[in-house]
Amino acid sequence: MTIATVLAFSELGIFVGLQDSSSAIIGRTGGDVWVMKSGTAYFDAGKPMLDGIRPALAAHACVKRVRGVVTAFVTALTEKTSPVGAMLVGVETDQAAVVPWEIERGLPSDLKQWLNVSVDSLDQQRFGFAESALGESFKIQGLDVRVSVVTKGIKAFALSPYVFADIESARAIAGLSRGQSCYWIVDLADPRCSDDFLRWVPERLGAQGDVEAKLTSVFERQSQEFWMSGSGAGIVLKFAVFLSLAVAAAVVIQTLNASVRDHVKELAALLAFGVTRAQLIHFVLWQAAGLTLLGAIPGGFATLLVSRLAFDAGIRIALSPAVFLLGGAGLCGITALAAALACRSVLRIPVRLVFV
Amino acid sequence: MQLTAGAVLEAENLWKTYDTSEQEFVAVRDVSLCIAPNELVLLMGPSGSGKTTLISMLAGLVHPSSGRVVLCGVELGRDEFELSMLRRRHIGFVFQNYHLFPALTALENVSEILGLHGVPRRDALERARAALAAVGLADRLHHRPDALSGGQRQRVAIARAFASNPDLLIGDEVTAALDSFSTEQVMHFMRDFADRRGAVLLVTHDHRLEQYADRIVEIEHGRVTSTRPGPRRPSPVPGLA
Repeated sequence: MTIATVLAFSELGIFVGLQDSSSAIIGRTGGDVWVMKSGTAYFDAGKPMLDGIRPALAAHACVKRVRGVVTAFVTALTEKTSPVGAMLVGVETDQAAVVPWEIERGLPSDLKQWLNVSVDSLDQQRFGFAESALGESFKIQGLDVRVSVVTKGIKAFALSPYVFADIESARAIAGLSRGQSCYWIVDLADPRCSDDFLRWVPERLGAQGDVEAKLTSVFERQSQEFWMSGSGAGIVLKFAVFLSLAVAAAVVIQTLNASVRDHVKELAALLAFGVTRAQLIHFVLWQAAGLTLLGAIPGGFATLLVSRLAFDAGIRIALSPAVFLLGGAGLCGITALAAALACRSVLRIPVRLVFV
Repeated sequence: MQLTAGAVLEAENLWKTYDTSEQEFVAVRDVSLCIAPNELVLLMGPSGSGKTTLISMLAGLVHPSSGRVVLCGVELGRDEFELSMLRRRHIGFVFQNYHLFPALTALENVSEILGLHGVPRRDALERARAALAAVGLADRLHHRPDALSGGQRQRVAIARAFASNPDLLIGDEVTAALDSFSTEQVMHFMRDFADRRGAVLLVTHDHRLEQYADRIVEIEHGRVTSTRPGPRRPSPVPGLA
């Protein structure tokens, strides 16, 4: 049961952790509406839009603020490693949203410095940095950049390193002009304007290319669906979750069933002594409940330990209350199924076995 | 056949047939048997003679194809629950392989049955202690079966059977796995139970047990072939104070 608990919680946690990471930047950046090139299915796929969109968006009566986000797949070159593919994310660091997050060393404002970037501590080895990457220099797209912020635990679904920078630095690295951005994030003065604003964007901005607007929550969900349901890795992950739950179920069913199968003669003896089958079923159900509690509690602690070890190895197991609730419900369901099968076995014990 | 007044167990014209795919197999043929209070009866016969089927029917574990069994004045029917209640009230069992729960101590193996019979926990423990003391295991209460010898395990099983104060004790090859000394101990407990509390019906191959019997019933090919009196010999339990 302990093994089953660790399996179920860990796999669910990995699933939720990767699902979160597939849309984490969108959620962290916030805003009410994201404006992007039509057909952008997930965050990392952002393409630069033409100049002039920001002032056009700001002209809408409902718009309170417009922020840009630049994203580009870049090649990082350090002295100690071969070129490393990375996802550059440029954000307006003077705006309210705290991106990047999970900062281990440095301050978000340090990224305002020209060509300063952040690196995640879990990716330090990939960049060839020994201890802390803070203060290290390397090249991105041929430009010299300096690490002024170190984060811990920010991972893309595809596991390529995220490198954050101020949007101006990011534009310089990605070769974009000052007015260009891959996303425009709009904060509305009144969220009730959102429907009107979503209709207005393609009508007003049609001339600036194929542009569409999505509610932040919709884009988050789309990004998650792309990775979790549309990518091979997501499907493999779902299969792994299913497999781990199946293994957990097999372990619990096997354990409970063995407790009946291995004691068939003892249980038949109880029947001979006048114990009713209902009492035996009661006995099995108590055993199942005890097994669940005795296994799930140490299993929960073991999962916390596993998640800590996994995090240090670069795998995020998101053990949120929802994961515990879902995992707990799953384990209860598995135990109920196992108990039902064990009860079925109890009902089939032939009492005459006592003399065989 | 008239039922015998005061009999603990009475069987009348019992038959048991099994339909196999090829033919009908008769395991027990027209057996009638009566066991009186304080009587120790041995049921003897070669393997496959129908002994096990017969005691299974007598205990209400298997339904006879025809005939009837009356236990302490109540005719056994086919209702599982009623049969369970009758066995609970009147019969104790001792098995060749003990059938003790390996994870439970001697005390728990005895008291759990009483608990399942509805005896309050404290009373169950008290009765279990007394039953185990009566079979000389007062110092082995908290030992699990794997820490006991074969003879001690069988004594735990006997204590389990005694603890619910049955009218009839049914045993199946209870000494088959025991050495001579343990066999003697176990049979003295059986004899003592028959003398003081109820009747005993034992299935056995072991002719050494005849000395403890009031009556020996021989069975072959499912039919009782002879019934003869046994030389009962009650005496103090050897090796126990």
